[in-house]
This record gives sequence, C-alpha cells and structure tokens, in this order.
Amino acid sequence: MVLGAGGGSALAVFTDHEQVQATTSTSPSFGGTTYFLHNNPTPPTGNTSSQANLAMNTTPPTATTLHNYDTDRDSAPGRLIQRGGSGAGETSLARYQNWRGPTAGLLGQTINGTVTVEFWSAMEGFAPNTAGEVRVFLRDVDSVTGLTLEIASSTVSSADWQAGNAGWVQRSATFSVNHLLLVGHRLEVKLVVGAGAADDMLFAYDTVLYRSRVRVL
Amino acid sequence: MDHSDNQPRRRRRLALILPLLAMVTLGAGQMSLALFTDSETVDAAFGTGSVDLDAARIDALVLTSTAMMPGDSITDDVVVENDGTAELRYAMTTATTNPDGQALRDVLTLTVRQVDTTTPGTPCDDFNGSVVLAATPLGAAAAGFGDPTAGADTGDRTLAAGSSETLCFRVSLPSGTGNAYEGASATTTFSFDAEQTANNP
Repeated sequence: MVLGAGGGSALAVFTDHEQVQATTSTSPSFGGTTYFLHNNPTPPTGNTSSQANLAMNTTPPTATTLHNYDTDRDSAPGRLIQRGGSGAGETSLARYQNWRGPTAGLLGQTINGTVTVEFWSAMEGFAPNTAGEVRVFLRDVDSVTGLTLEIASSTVSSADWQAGNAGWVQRSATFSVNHLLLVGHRLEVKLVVGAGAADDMLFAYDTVLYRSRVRVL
Repeated sequence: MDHSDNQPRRRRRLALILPLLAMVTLGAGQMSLALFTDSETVDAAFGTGSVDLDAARIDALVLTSTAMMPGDSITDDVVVENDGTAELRYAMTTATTNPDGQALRDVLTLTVRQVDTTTPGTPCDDFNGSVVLAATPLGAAAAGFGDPTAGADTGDRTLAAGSSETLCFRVSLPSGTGNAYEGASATTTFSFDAEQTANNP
C-alpha cells in the first residue's frame, strides 16, 4: 500500500503501514511424558547417513545446528523421506523413519490417554504451494522378536504444506490410546510420506529449535 | 538691426520644421514598437516519490504456534522490502492480547536478529545474525524496535528505494515457565511502520 502525505502539519511525510498477526498457545498441560526424537549419535555433532531405528527418550535436544541426517540420500539438513511409502509395513529406508522409546520394565507400561506426535517438516527444497502428506503410525515393538503391532495411525495432509512459510513447519498428529506395552516391548513412531504428497519431504529433529517429539498425557 | 524682414522667413521655417518634427516623432514611436522577439516553452512534470512496504512479504511472517511447551521456540524470517521510489526508515511494534487472563504475553519473549551470518540461504535456521532486538517479553506492547513517530528515532531501520532486508523473528516460551500458563493463548500483531527519510530528520 502506498500512502500519500498526511495533513498540512509539519509532520506531513509519506508513510506506509503493514501488519501481520500470530497466535501463540501453550499445551493444555505441561505434565505427562515427552519423548524427544533423536538422531544417532545424540546430541548430533555432524552429518550421518540414514538409520532405520532411532531413539526417542525424555532427554531434550541440546544441539543448535541441524545436520544432514541422510548423507546417503541428499545434502540438505534433516532427513528426506521419499513420497509413496506403503504404510506401517514399509521396509525401504528411503521411505520411512522409525523412532523407538524405552523398553517397558517388568510391570509393562500402560499408555492411556492422548498421544500427540509433533514433528517439524518441509517439502523438499521448501517448495511453496505443494501438497504434503505424512502418515504417522504408533506401533508396539517386541524388542526380542522384532514383531510389531499397530496401535494407531493418522494422516496429516495439506494442499499447501509450507503454508507461506519458507522454512520448517510444525505439524502434529493426535491419537487417543489405551494400550499396555508388555515387558520388553517398546513404543515406536513411524513416519511415512504418503502418495498424496506431491514431492518428497524433509524432517527436522534433535535440535533445540526443532524439537520433534511424542507427548503422552 | 531690423528683424522685421526675418519674421516671415522664420514662420516659413517653422511651418516646414513642425511637420518634420511631427513625422520624426511619429516615426520614432512606431520604431520603438518594432522589436525582434522570440518565445519558447518547456513542460515540467511534478511527481512525488513513495515509500511502500511490500505487504505480501510482511504477511509471510508466520509465527503462529500451538501447544507450546516450556523451552519451545518458533522462528521465521520476514523480508522487509521497500517497493517505493524513495528511501524509508521503519519501526516495528507489537500489540499482544490477553484473552484468557492468563498473561501468557508476559512470559513469551520476542527476539529479532538479522539474517544468519553462516547460512543466509536458509535465513534463520542458525539464528546467529546480529541482534536487532534482544529477548524481550511481549507484554501488552513492550517488544519492538525503532519508533513509528515521525523523524529519526533510535532503532529505526533504513531501506533504500527498491531494497530489502531479511530479519529473523523468534517467539520463545522460556524453560522455567510454570503450570499457571498451561492452556493459555495470546495473539500478537506485528506492525511495520515506514516513513520517508528525505526532509524528515
């Protein structure tokens, strides 16, 4: 908007005014258990190749630099996941990323409540006006046998994933869960980029700014 | 000396001279109006300059965040661009609501830096540019830089016509934030006010 001069006073200079709004809200609860999604090693100290099963635990990230977590796939910071993954059973490391929580103890671990997976992501190249689709799976993994059981799943999609943002964007998937992890079992979060995405997608985690995580309330 | 013989002669001379004088006088008058003259014209168009912040680029500042936890931050870049034809200076002010009475605005902080020095191509991921505004609680209207009142003020930033700069905005919920702020919300309006610098010291 171009504005003309004001009235005839000595302060009559050309001016312009623009504004933008942002709403910030906090979590309904600061309690519960939060598992942060990490790379390996953690805290990250440099670039790594992609790895199938990463750790998630209650230790907050401390790194300030987002390194490249898949030097075998691209040179960009974060982890690239190719679009078109088949689902919870996807076995191509190019098309999924897993994080696994602590192993349940002798009494097992009951997860009863709202589970929210919050992740930082972007379209490859931070391309604007591009559809994105992330499928999020919660699974029960037997640490001994490796067998998995799907607990819940959700799809997060948007016709314009970046939504005007040139950088990383935070998205979340929420589940209502009542599940008992037996002794020796672990909670797993699996991210897959669905066929509804118009391009491959990037994920950021394990830094102070990009604290992707799983919250159990 | 007898002058009687000269009088008729003088009268005849006068009779001859007076018409001549009249002719000379008339001629002189006519000649004074007969000047060489010329005329040329030139057009002058008077236009004003403008100061014009790019609205679309300001709108691209996205800091909305949900479900923040203590220690969380959200960061985004904004390109402030002068699309006008004159140099401008600008200030940024904030106004933050307190709709639920939980005073979230008093614990949220705003930090503004210049574009990253290490990786300006990804403008704000390192958030290590020069500090424009040190971490300041948003409050009702506490965080900003410069002053939108007319004239040069401390903290005002200058942009030449057609130029732009990238700034990094970060809103943080400090780690020590207590449970009193659970489930709270606040809306912040970021206002960018520009004015001409010419003849406006």
